[in-house]
Amino acid sequence: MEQLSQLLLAFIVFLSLYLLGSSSLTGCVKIVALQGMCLGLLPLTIHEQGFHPRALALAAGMFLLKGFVIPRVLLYAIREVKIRREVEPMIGYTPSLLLGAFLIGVSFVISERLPVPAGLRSSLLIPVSLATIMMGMLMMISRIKALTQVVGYLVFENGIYLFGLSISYEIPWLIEMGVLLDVFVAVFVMGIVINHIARAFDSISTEKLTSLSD
Amino acid sequence: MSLLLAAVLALGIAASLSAVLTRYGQAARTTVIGALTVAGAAGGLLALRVLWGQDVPDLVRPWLIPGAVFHLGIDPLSASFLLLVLLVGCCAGLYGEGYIAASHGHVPAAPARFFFLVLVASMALLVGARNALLFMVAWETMALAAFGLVSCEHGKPEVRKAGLLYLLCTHVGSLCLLALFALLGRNAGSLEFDAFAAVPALPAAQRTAVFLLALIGFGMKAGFVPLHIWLQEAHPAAPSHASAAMSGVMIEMGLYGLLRLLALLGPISMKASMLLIALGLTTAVFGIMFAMVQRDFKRLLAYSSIENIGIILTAAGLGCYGLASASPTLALLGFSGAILHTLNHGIFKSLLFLSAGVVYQAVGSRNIEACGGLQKRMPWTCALTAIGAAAICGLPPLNGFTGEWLIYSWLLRPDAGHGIRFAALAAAVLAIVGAFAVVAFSKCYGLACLGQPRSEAARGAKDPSWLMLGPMALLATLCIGIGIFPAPALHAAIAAAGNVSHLSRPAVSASFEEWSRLLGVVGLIGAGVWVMTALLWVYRGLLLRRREVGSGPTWGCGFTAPTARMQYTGSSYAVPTARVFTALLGTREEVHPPLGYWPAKASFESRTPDPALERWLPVLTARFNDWLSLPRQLQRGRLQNYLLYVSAFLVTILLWKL
Repeated sequence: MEQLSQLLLAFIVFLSLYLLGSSSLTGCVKIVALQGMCLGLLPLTIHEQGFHPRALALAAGMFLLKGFVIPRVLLYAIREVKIRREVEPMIGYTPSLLLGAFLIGVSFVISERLPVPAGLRSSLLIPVSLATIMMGMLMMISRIKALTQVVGYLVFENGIYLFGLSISYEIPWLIEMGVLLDVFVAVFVMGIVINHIARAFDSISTEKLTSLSD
Repeated sequence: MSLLLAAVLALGIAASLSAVLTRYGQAARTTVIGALTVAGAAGGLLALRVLWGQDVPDLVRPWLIPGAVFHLGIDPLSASFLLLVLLVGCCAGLYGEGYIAASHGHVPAAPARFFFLVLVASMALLVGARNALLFMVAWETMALAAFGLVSCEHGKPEVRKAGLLYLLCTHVGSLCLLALFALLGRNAGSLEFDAFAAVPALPAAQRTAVFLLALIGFGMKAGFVPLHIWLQEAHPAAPSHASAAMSGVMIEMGLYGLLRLLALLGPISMKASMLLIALGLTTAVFGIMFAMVQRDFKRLLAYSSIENIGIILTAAGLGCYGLASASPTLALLGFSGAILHTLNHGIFKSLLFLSAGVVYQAVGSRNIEACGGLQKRMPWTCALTAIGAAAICGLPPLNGFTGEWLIYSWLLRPDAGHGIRFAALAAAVLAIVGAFAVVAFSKCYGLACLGQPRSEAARGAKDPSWLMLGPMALLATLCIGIGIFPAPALHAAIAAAGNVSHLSRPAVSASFEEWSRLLGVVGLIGAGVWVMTALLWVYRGLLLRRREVGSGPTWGCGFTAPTARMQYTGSSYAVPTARVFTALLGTREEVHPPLGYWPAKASFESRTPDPALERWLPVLTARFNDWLSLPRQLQRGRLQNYLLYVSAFLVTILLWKL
């Protein structure tokens, strides 16, 4: 079990890195879906005492939502706005990858100073969650298309979820449900925003929003 | 105390109801009138009970906000201002219903009702607040409600500009007040007003800081020169009943704040009181000089508010001088002059703003030179306006005189001496201000109500509905009533002033006996004037009975075809006085005189912009703009940049805290 959780966490980081280097929008969504599935499996493996029966329901919910529902919505949005590639990132793909690697290092440094809650099987959980949060943030900052921003936001939320997981044994429902709800709302809001940007500015590039500043 | 809470709640509930009932005009109107009546009755009863010597226990409730206590209290100082808030609020509110109905959709009903009720409620709460946070909450609510009223007709660009200017000014004031209360709170260890009063005096440097912060914070609201810049823009922009409430009461909340602080923190130094007096006199002279040359009658009234605030501030400064020189009688006289003039100003200024609203609706313009000859067409309105205008000039048989009488009697007292040579100077300045006020208001009244109509709209003007005339008549009656029988108003003012000057009740009532006797004589003379006028009127009627009375055209100076344009204009009336002060006023004239034997074209245009707003402020803001160009580069309008700022901030905090 311990190896499994380590493996899953490593895979999650790897997927985030892959996202930073990928230019295809459909590909991005599919990778986020995969990451979501990994996250769904994690609560079953992460704690030393095994898992709550409740965690089973949570895992199933996560798996379905992050693995299937949200990607479906995003793929639908991609079909609607007829856009395939992020061609004009503000930070190129190779520099993004290097930055991502640097951020992973930073998150390990930070997590060394953070107190780790007892009972976790993997010491990787906190650094991985921080790295995921930072890479999601990086994606939101460095990409221009509204859709890649949504993907970045999802990665960011995944990181927060991972962080919450570390105390999920003590306070199960509360945090995770909050996170799920957040994501759900965010995707719908962003979906609406994308449609409106496309309609009002004839493009889904957030660059066009600068015309709203003074 | 529950009466005050009931009044505030009634107004608040009615405000939200009136916002919900937008579709049902009649229901909303009933709600507003009902709430104002209830609040006026409840609050008025409480205020009168307190003013006539009853002690009302404070209301203290815990509050969710940390450091804050919902602490309401009422003393004579609060009570006198509460009385003014509710009196003007009710009159202007009732009038406002008629005004909204008569505007045929020009005044948006829902925001006008909502913000007006919120404004009155917040002011009633403000005077009762005994906790700095509660005070700030009420203060900000009041400021924002007034902003809502100012930008009611936001379709017009000049209204939006005025609204923005007001919002900026009021926030500068609020920031100063926040700093002030933070300073006092740190010293006292609590944000309760009682705690401020209980601790020993601050060190000198902090006292100066407190004084300056209070002067700017409250002065911004009251409109001391040069902090008045928003006043003459905001008052014309708001609907008339709202300007009445704002000019009659809201700006005086700034003075309430100053007096409340004085009551809490005790006397200020002699130098500071001299500064207050000088500032007050400057404000008064500035206000009335600019009032004199305005053509927009609501702007004229706004400048006249600045003048009156100046007079009140002068009186308050005289009171402070009394405190500083440890002469309680002088202090009491000064403060009661300030408070009495505040009450009077609230009454006649709101009356004048209400009549300005009537004229504006009838003529469709705020330009005095579009009016003319209204006396024949709207006799009631003009009669009431005449009373208000005479009162605001401080002419004897009316209430404006009573407050100024107290101030003059301070200045002319033999024991005011102590080497205070400037008392004579101050008296002279006040007299000049009074004389200019006569010029300004005789111009305003004469051009609007006398002569021939200058526009088609003025020709067809009519008196408004009784819902609008009624409140005006009530205010005018008060003007006359206080003029003839000043004792009750004087009693209220002296009771409130006793609060500020820390005098015992017996000492206060002894002074009241003395001055009310003197003022009673003044009132009697005033009554004599009225009786005499009435007798002459009756006598005239008797003389003219059974005689034919004819009326002919005015003597036309020998012109064969006189037109209405040949009458005096506002500029030509004020020019002899204004010319003397051209350098101060900065009037810009554009003259194209008729040239040659057969002049084809000639024109004359004059404009007097506000110097603080249009000459002094741009110099300051240009400097500021230079400084701010650096941080402005941070604002690019790009989502990604903002996300970067947020994450950089968060990561920094995280690294720093670990």
